[in-house]
Amino acid sequence: MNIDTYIYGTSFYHRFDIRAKLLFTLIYCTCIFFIHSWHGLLFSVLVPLALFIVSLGKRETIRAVRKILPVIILLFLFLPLQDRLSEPVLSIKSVAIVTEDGLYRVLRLASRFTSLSLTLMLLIATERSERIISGLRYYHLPYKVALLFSLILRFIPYLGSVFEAIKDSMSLRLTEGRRGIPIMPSITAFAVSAVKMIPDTAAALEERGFGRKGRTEYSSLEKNRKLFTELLFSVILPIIFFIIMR
Amino acid sequence: MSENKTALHLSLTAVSAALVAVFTIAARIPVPATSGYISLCDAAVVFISYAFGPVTGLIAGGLGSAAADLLGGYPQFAVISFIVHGLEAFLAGLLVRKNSQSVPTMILGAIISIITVCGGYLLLEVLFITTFSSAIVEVPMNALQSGVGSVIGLLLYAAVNKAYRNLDSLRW
Repeated sequence: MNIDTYIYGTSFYHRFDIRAKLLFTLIYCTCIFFIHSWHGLLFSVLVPLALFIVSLGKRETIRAVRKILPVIILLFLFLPLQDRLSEPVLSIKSVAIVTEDGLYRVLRLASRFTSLSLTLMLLIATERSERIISGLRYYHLPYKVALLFSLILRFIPYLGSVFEAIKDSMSLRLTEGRRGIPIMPSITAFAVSAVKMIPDTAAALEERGFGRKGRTEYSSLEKNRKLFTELLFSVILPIIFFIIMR
Repeated sequence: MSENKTALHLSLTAVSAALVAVFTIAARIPVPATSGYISLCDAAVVFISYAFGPVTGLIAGGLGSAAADLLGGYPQFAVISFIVHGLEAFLAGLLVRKNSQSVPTMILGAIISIITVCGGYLLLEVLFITTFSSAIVEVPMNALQSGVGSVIGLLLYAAVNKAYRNLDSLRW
């Protein structure tokens, strides 16, 4: 199981410091909820979309948009595009199909969802998970929580490969002529092997000096002048965007 | 709390969260009628909350499903999944405590899981992502997924408890 969401690149957003990137993501995602103007809605999608194209290229952008598209289609299908009070934008035989407020409501939700998704996807596609954890450590994420995140990210691919192996061996055990995967025996065997790992992992943590000072420490990110500038940009840019676009 | 106890809790939570993530990403049952699939996320969440208690369930269920969303390419749902599945595991685990593991209690725990998942997703999606009429469409699918998941989780707990006798000793 491949869980690496990082996509290699040398774009400016790739080189942007993770601490600034985290701050930018947080402030931008918060601003999205307070933007109400038509042009604001449009630009709240265009900004992460442009960043996506510049940083990861057209192919990855299309792939990301494809993941969002079903939800957007659902929004347009199941939300009423009309209301009783506002001006009709599209009407057939004096029946209002689309009204201004109805369209605005759907577009606001669609743009909020799209921009939120793209901004978060951009963060995890341009930064390695261990760097994200280091960035969170800079913002005082407790050591034990950071270690928990690291262990989870370490175990997911391993357990994924264990599950695949168990699933394959279980399907080979099927009687001749039958095909498929016996779900219950596979997940039971998998859960038992995962549970058996728990005491071993605890012992390994203690062996490596968990809880003792100076052992199993995280490397801290370096501080430099570039960081200050990037932090400043990551705060000022979304705030200016919000003031202009709200 | 001694450090070796903390190491055990840490590894228990990490392995459990990874288990939830793998169940969500890798173990999918196709639904031909809708051309979609049901993930076994709820099965893992229910199993963990019954086996290891409400606190492990809350952290592992929440983090595991959030990790699956992040790694599966749906980061926008990560926070919602964290809250909903964390709460689901906590409530189910709270109800099915070590000394009250009877079949009716477990079934009640499964029903609470279904209500939490359906209600939680509906409420949080309406608050943060979409509107009621759009979010209500997902309720039958969520109910099906958590219903099937809860039953599988219950069976899984019984099977693993039989195969691994020290399961209760890991309970937190």
